[in-house]
Amino acid sequence: MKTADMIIAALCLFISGAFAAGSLKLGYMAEFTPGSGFFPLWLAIALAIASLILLAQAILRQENGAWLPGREGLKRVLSMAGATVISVFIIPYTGILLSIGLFMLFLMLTIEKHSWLGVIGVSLLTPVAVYLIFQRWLLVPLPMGVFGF
Amino acid sequence: MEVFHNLLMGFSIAITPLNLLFALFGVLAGTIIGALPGIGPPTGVAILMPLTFGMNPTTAMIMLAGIYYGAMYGGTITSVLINVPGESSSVMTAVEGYQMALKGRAGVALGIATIGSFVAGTFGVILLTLISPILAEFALKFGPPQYFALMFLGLVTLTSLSGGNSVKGFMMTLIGLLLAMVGMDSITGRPRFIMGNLQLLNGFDFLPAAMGLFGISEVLVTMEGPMKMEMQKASLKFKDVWPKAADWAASKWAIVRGTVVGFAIGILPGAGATLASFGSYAVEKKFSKHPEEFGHGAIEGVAGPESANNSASAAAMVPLLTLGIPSSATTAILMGAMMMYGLRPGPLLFDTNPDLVWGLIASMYIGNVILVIMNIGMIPAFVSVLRTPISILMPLIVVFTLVGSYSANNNLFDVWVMLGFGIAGYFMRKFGYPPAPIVLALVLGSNTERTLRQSLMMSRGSLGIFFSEPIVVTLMTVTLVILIAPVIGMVMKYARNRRTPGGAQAGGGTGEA
Amino acid sequence: MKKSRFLVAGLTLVALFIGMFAGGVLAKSDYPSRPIEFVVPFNPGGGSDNMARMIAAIYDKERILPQPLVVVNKAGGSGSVGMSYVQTKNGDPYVIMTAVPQVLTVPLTTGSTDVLHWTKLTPIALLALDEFMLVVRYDSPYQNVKELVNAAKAAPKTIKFGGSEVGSEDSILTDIFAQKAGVQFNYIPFKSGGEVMTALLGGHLDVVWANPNEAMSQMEAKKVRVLAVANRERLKGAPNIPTLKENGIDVHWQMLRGIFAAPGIKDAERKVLEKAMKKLTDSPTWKKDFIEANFLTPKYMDSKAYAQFLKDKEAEYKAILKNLGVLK
Repeated sequence: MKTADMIIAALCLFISGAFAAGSLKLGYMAEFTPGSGFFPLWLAIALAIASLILLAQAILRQENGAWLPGREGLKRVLSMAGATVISVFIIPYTGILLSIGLFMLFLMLTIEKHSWLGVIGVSLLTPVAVYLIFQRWLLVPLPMGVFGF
Repeated sequence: MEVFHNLLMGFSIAITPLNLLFALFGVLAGTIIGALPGIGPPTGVAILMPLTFGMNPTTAMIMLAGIYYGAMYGGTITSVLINVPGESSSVMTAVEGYQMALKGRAGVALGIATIGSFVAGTFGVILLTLISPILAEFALKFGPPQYFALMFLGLVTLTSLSGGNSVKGFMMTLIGLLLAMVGMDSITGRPRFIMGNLQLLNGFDFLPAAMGLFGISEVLVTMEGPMKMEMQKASLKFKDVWPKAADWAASKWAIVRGTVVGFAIGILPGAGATLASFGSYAVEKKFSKHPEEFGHGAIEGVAGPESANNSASAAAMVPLLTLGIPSSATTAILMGAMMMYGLRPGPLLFDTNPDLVWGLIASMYIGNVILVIMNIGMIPAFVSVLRTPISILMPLIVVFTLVGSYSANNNLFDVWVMLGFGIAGYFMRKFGYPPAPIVLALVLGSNTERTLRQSLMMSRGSLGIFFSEPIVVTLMTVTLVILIAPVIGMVMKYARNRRTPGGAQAGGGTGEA
Repeated sequence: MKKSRFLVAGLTLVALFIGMFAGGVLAKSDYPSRPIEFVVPFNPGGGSDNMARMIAAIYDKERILPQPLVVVNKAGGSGSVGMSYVQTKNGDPYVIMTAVPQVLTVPLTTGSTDVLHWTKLTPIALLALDEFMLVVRYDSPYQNVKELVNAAKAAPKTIKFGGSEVGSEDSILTDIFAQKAGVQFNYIPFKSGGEVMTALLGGHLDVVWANPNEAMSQMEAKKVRVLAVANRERLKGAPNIPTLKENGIDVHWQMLRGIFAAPGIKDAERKVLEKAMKKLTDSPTWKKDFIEANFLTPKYMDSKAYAQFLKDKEAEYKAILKNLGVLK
């Protein structure tokens, strides 16, 4: 936790620096009133102060407990996160429906054992259900891929 | 008496088989739309509007309004079951209701939310029936300084909403506020902090943020643990899912307070159901005898906000019907629909189209009854969703959030935003940074800034505008009390501790006698 | 065991593909052979959204095209999100969008004309012109434009004037009005027309701009008074309201409501859309339920005339924005 808090505090300091730099380019005061940069500047300063307090708290603390899940758990978390990121990444090429189907297929094959029928059924039914509810009923134009769906 | 006569006429219109049928269809569709992430009430009403062309305007409005308040019931379902808020006014329910579900109390959460919604919805319609014109006048009193005072109060209570390390909660609030600054500055009309990305012109929408911070991060945390969970063993028997006596006792005042808070905030144009549910949550935490339970499945934290968003949706009809002013995105669409039917929404609507107005109001009583019966009957079915094996349910939740965050604006960029918040949310959860303040700050941030700047423009730079009028003064005083109260509390505690020996003896004495 | 898993994966993939191709591939025939996506670059409930939904309804009712228009809101960045979306649909005739002057002004005020520009779209038709009305509360001390102007002259920058954000049409129009009348207002920007009207009714503002569909019902209920319309001629639907020009202030400003399509579409496809829009503007439902109900001025321009018109308008806006100091 100690290291994590220190990293996060550093990250927040960076964010506050970026916002402060950005807000200095905007007007601080307008005619009668705070300008475009007034609010963000003070927010950034407050964030910087809070981050420094957090940093001090973290440095003064001794414990540095483990936070990583077990091996199996970590594998599951990574495959879930990875699969999600990849499936969003491929949406412009495959369309959202195929991407969702592949996502379900991959995770059902990796996380836990399921019956054949279950795997095929869920991977097929999910995009079909999404198509029927969102595209057909609610007329959401779901993103299509290069295959024309 | 005229009111009752009018209401009676309204019921005679609303009770015709055709209108009843469309009220039923409307609330049913609304419940589903409320439960689907991304598709909120405004989109839902807009999408189903074409079905109503060619209908009698009264029937059409009965159906469309049914979608609106039906969605307030539906939003609860996904918040409780899978920690994905179906729409924005159910965010607090995702915080508290899902914790209840983890303890196998999903049915109880849904039950109390349904009853609270019914009580609040019906009470809201009663107020709408009786004193709309007075309420509308009150709502108009809210200009920029009043809104600023309200938002400021919201921000101050917000930081107290999150438990744990207060520095961390404060930091998350600030991050949320800074993110709310990104996009078009609505005063100068120029972009800020968009880093050349036109997608950011509109800033960070808070629905994708909420879906990521709550939904995705929860999925990731769940994946760490075993693939069998306590919540899956929850009984589906009706008597087990139904709230017990102790739950009622804990919730009844939460429902009452939620109703009042929700209605008061709901009539204000621009504030709406989302702010109402946050407000109610804050009030519950303040009033609670055991605030430490909040965030770990406190039933009041479900009962209050869920009541509040329903009375707010009834309240939102007040400015629409009495002034012809849309106070939220949904009522703006309802107003657009009226214009398409050839009606002229405006201050004269009660006089020019009494049959429509009173038929609509009467149908809202009926719709709430339909909703409460339908939702209670379905609770076991909803809870049975949790029986799905974790290894299937979790990927399905991800699919749900992907499609949902896309559908909110039909924009793939929002899906990436949602994912980014999701992964950040996972680490925040691991290291004890509360996610709720980010989401709330995103909602309040730009409005707070804008109303402050508008107020100072109106007063030409004088801060006196925040102490010039009863509503502002009241709100500002409450805010100051909340800010100062902890300090006074500390002083009092200190003073009491010094006198402790004597006090304890006196107490002991009376106890024995 | 391993083998069977691959088999499952393979089977599912094949089924996915077959199923989606069956659903996705459509017999190619004359344009349009499938529904057309009608992008509204604003949230549901606004003026653009109302117009789009009205158009879609009339298309449906009068079968103007063999396929329906499906209204889709892509809000964000004062219209730029929806606009950039349509820009990316090069050569796709199945995407059209509603266009208001933000399409011209936002790229200018945000300095993004190189990425976002109306010439990167196909103008289809101009449909109507919307009006701007100068509105005060019914119990306001200002009975007419002259009294308002005199009050502003007596105390510069005290009259609270409401409208949408700086750089928007409301604010540009206020600046022109102030310049021509030789006065200064205290301009207070809001997020939407609804908010502006609410603040006016609540007594938080002194005077605002409003479109007729916002102002007229309030006027009939004697909640507000319309001092003037920013047009050279009085409106047919409201002949009692004077123009600004009659008051000696020659300000003329109307909001353009038109239709764009994606860039790079074929001429034949553009003509189909053009003709369909012409048919729309001739329909009695359009004339009665949209134009008359909202006090709009019907004004049809075909693709070519509309493009020229936009070009002129852009030059005009540019000059005005420069004059006002919004553009450098």
